[in-house]
Parts: sequence; structure tokens; C-alpha cells
Amino acid sequence: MSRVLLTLPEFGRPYGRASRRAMTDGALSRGQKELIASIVSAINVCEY
Amino acid sequence: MAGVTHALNAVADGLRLPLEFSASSRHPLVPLSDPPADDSAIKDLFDDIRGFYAVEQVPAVFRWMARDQGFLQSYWEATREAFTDRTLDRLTKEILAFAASMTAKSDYGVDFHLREARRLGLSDQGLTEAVEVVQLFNTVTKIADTLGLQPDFPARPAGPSTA
Repeated sequence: MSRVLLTLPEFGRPYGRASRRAMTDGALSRGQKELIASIVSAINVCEY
Repeated sequence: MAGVTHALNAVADGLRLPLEFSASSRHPLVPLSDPPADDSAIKDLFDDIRGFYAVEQVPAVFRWMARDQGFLQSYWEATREAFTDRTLDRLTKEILAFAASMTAKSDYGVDFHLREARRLGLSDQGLTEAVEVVQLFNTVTKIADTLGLQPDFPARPAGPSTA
């Protein structure tokens, strides 16, 4: 995904920054956030 | 938990059941009658559901299921078990159910699970962070599926977990 995003750096770089910011520990833990990411992927039936 | 959430949302949104906690203009496609007052089995189930969610009125999706007491009893038992504190606490499960409902675009589920997560202690900052992750990964999954990307990591074989 990172390689795909960098094919369009004007989108990929700020998206990456947003991703890193959103996925760090905060009010929710990194583990909780990874679980949310997993359930979003499951509901979207996305193997990736 | 994800399966139960998805199924309850499908029934509630499919039947246009009214949202439990937010103003809604939608009207149910089916009548939601109260169970007979002398049905002690249903009364016990309804008391348990009200207690679990700390609500005065049993949520419409369970009132619908009360048409078939045996089905409601079994399904509620499974739902209660899925959302009970275990390795994951109940708040985390409600946040996940909220994320699943947002992703599936379920008005009923978003309304229900956001209320539950807030009741169980989800802060404004926690809500912001949860929605950010939902947004990020709806972006990622759409891009990955559109491009047919293969997973970056091999699937782990199922095995005993220490979690």
C-alpha cells in the first residue's frame, strides 16, 4: 500500500502523515485502533 | 461480535426499525407489538436486556424477535455473551460495533453502539480517534480492492492464543 500511495506523492505523503498520527496511542490504544482497522476490513470483505 | 452486530443491524435497518436514541423520521415496516403481560419467559428476557443496556424500553430489534420466544432467547444469549467483558472489554467491543456499523452504513447500529460506547466511557477524544481510524481504513480497503492488491503479510495459521 505504501508503494501504491507513493505513486501519487501529493496524495500519499499527507495520507501517510494522517495515518501515522491517527494510529498512535492516544485515548484509544494502538491495539484498539488495529482492531478497528481489522473490523473495517472485515465488513468491507477486504483481504488486504 | 462483528457477526451479531452485522446481523442485528441488517434486521433493524431492513425493517426500518426506529432509532433507539436519536430523532428519526423512519417508520417500521412491521408492527412492534408488546408481548403478552403474562408471558413470564419473555418478561425475564426483556428484564435482562433492559438491564444489560441500562434502558427503560427494550430495543426495537429485540422486541421484533419476541415474536418467537425461543429464537429471541437463544439469540439474546449469544448476543449477551459476545458483548460480555472477556479478553476484550465491553467498551472496546462497543467501539468495534460502532466502527462496523459506520462501515456498513447502518443508521440503527451507529445510533445504538455510539450510545452504548459513550455510556461505557468513550470520551470525545476517543470518539474522534475511532472515527479517524474508520475513515483511514475505509480509504485503504477501497484502494486495495480497486487495485486488487495482495496482502503484505502472509496469513498466520490458526493456533492456540495466549491472548
